[in-house]
Amino acid sequence: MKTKFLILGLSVSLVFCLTLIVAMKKMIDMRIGQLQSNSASYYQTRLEEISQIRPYEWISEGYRLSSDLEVTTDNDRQVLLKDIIKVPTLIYRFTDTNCKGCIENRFMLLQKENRDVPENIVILCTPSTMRVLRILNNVHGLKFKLYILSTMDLPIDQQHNSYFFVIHPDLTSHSFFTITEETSLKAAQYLSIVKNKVNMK
Amino acid sequence: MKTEKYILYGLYTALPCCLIAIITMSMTIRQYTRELHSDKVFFYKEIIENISYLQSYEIISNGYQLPADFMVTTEEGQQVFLKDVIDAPVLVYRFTEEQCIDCVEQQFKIFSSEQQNIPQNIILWGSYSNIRKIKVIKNTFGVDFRSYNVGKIDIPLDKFLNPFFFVITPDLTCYSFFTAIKENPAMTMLYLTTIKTKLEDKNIN
Repeated sequence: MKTKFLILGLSVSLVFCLTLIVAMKKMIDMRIGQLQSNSASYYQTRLEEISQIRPYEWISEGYRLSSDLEVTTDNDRQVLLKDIIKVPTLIYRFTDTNCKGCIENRFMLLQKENRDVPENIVILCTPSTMRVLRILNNVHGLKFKLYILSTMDLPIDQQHNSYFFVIHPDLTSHSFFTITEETSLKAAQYLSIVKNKVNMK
Repeated sequence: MKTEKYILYGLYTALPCCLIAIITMSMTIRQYTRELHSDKVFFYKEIIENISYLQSYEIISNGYQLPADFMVTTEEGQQVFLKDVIDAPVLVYRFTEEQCIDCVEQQFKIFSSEQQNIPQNIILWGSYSNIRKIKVIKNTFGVDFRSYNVGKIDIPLDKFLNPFFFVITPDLTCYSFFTAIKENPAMTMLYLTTIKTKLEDKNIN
C-alpha cells in the first residue's frame, strides 16, 4: 500500500516536472526569437550594414548626371534623361536582383504611397528587371514611367541594392536612400519625407 | 511486487533528470533575459534609433540652397558674404553654443588626431555670442581650420542640438549632411574619410 502511494506521488511529481520543462522550452524558444531580433549582435549587424550603405549615399549626394545620358523607353526608343526630367522628380532605381518577390514588394510600396500615380516618379531599371516591372504595372493597372538604364555613372549604382533619389532638371541628384531589408529609415518614411520635395500628390 | 519496484527505480531516475533539466533551462532563460536587457543592446538600439531619426532630417536638408546674401562673421570680426569666401566645394562643421560641449569637442578631437584621414579644407561654422569662444576651442585642440561665426541657419537639421557636417558648393548648395552622434565616433570618422575622397575626386564633384 505504501509503495503504491509512493509511486503515485512520484508520478504526479514527474508529470509536473515534464509540464514545467515543456513550458520552459516554449519560453526559451520565445527568448531566442526575441534575441534574434533584439540582441546586441543583431543591432551590431544592423549598424555595420548602415556603415556599408551610407558612404555610397554621402558620396553620391550632389552628383550631376551627364546631360548625354540616354534611357530606353517601354517602346525601345532612346531618349535623353534630361528630356524627361522637367521638374524635381523622384527616381526609383531598380538594380538587378533575383528576388521577384522583392521587386514586387518595393513596387507595391511605391504604389501604396502614391495611389494616384503622380507624374513625377520615374522608375529606372535594368533590362532584366524591366520585364517583371512591366507585368506588375499592367497587372495592377498602374502607369509608372519605366525606363531601362543598364548602368549609371553614380557611385551608389555600384552596390547591389535598389535605391531612391531626387533628381532636378539640371540632373543634380540629392536625397539618396538605399533600400535593404533592414535600413535604418524605412522606405515608407522616406517617401513621406520626399513628398514635399517633389510635390507628390 | 517486482513491477512496482521497477516503476519506483524508473521514477527515482527520471525525477532527478527532470530537476537537472529544469535547473539548466532556468539558467538559460535567465542568461537570455539578461542579454536581452543588457546595456549593450540598449546602447546599439539607441544609436540606430538616433541615426534613423536624424537621417530623415538629413534627407530633407540635402540640396538646400542658402540665400546669396547670406553673411558670416570672420575671425577678425568682419561681416562678409558667404559666397565670397567659398570658391570650391568644402566641408562645413556646424556647431552651436547651445549644444553639449562634449558633443562639439568630440569632432575637434578627431580633427586634431586624424589629420591625415580627413579633408584638409574643413570650415568651422559656430553660433557663439563671441567669435573669440570659437578661437578658444580651436586653440585648445590645436585646430587650424578657418572659422566663422554664423547666426541661425534655415536648414531643417539646424534645429537639433547635435553638431553636423555638410558639403557646400560655391553656389551655396548644401548636401551630404551628416549628424555627428557622440556615442558613434566611428561613423563620424567613416563620414570624414568618405567626404575626403569625394572632395579630392574631381570626377565625383
